[in-house]
Amino acid sequence: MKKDNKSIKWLYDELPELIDEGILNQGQADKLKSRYGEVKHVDVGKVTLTIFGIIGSVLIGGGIILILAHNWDNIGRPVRAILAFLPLVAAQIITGLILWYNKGTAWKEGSGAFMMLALGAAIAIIGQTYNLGGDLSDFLLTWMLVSLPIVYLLNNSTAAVLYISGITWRACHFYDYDERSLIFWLLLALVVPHILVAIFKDRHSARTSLLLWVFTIAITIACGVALKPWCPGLWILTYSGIFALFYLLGRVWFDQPVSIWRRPLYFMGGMGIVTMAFVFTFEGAWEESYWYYSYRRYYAANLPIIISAIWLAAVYITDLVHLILAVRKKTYYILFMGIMPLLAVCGFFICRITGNNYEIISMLLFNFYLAVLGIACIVRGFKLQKLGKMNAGMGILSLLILMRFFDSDMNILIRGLAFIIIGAGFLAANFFMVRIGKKKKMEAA
Amino acid sequence: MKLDFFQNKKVVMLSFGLVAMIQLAVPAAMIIRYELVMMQGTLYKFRTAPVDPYDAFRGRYVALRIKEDTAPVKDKSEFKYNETVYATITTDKDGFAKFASASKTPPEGDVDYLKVKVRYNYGNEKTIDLQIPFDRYYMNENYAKAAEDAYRQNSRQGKENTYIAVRVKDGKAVIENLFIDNKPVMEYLKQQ
Repeated sequence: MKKDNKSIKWLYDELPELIDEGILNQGQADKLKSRYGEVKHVDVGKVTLTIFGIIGSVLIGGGIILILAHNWDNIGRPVRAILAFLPLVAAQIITGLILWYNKGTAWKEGSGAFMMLALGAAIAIIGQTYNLGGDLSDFLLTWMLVSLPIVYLLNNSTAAVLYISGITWRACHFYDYDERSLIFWLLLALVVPHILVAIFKDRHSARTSLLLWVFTIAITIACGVALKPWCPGLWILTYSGIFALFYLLGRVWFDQPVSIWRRPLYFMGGMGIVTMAFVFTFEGAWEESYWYYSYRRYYAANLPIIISAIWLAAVYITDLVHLILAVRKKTYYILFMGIMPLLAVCGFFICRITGNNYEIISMLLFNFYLAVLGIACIVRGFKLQKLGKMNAGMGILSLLILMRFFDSDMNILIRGLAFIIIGAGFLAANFFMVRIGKKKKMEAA
Repeated sequence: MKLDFFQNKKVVMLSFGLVAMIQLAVPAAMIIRYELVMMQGTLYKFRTAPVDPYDAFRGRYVALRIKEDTAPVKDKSEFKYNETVYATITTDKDGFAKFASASKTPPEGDVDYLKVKVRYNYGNEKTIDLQIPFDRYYMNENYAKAAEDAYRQNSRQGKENTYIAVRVKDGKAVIENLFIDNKPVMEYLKQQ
């Protein structure tokens, strides 16, 4: 199993001490070093320079846009057109020089961001000069598409982040699941190679993590606006499927023990699954999927609907593949969270097929599921001696119980008692964990 | 591997040159397109009506709405929302522009038309409502607010003397000027 950077660094730091104490000799230490390879140094200076470079160029670019947006009345049209080009040409010259002299990441990221803003400014200023109407969505589309090459030419993730934000913003502009919003997925696919390259280089680097955070958030938003549902309640399947996909991808492919910030897929997926599961414990959520309960029109099968259907199928197939992979690898704990979309499908069909009265089954199914999930979390947290996980499990159980209390009409006294009991439970469990942990340490010593 | 190909400096500079050209070409094409309309297009005057504005991104402008934004058709049900149509332009007895007809293909002959989208095809009259592409007139932001107020005052019921002068060519249109009380807007404001 690959060891991560932090562990390797720790080991190398320990070596001099170990050699002094006679536990290892120099030869063995050298063998260890050649076995585990170089420690990757994160040059803090370089990173700072990069960040400031980006901020600086964004500010300059933004300032220039604002100045030019001023609408200079007395200059004729040709001059205003030239003004539109100036920042763009300047950005191109700077970028060209940076490419020619093969400057580092900081320069590339900064100039790329500047170029993207200069492009947007040029298009916007021309729109102003000729009093062009037209929606924001067309402007965004043109701007994003023409800026896309910057991402690949300069390996520029700032531009990629701006691009993803831009196309997501655009997708939100269409009402009633307009076909044009579906183009979002095609546009997103165009930037995926850049993300893949970053993943292959280092799946837990700051760059990859940032890209994946933006990626997952964008997709979460897009699921609501850039897919065309052909029956009510489809969101139940959509969100279950995509959050599970994030979770499974994160667990299967990005399983190194790094901080949560470096594991966006795991975090977004996990939060999503648990959140949706809680939503599904309310009857109201399932009422959406009645066969005959619908104030929204039914859409006849056309291209957007077919695309959305294929999208959903692809997500679920990928989920299933990963669940099988998890079983093969014997990492059964992944199944606890990963099964959720399958339960959602069951619940969905129970409602669709049986209609009234039986959505209680779906609701109870998810109450049961969350209870099991909570307990599983506690047990696993206990086994791994991870207090955080145990508390998460207890959090789930408590939230579940609390929600049921708020759901029904119980008097205040009982609710007060319930809160006290749950709180006491938390404290007791934590106390026990710490006690047992100490006991184990004493036994080991 | 693919990545090595892109490390080759020649390839990188060549690709960059290509990308730079495309990026310059897009705004340049826009300029050329609309300059042609301004220089060679026919001038039409469209009467305008008041409206409420908002656009953060592109500077300050006066929001416009033209009065005659419908086109008569023989069969309304042929047209769907957001469909592209070609609306021919004529002038009324006072010299102001209105739409004479709308069809799904560009009209033959030497007649001026606008390429627009359908906004509305409900209602009883034998007309369809069009989405008019010119809905704003950009101005120096110090004047835009005053212009907007003046525009609103002058386009209310009873005082309908605001209009825009538009150049039309090959289905495209560019606003040349905004007239309030028969004077170009800047002149009107200076007189206030």
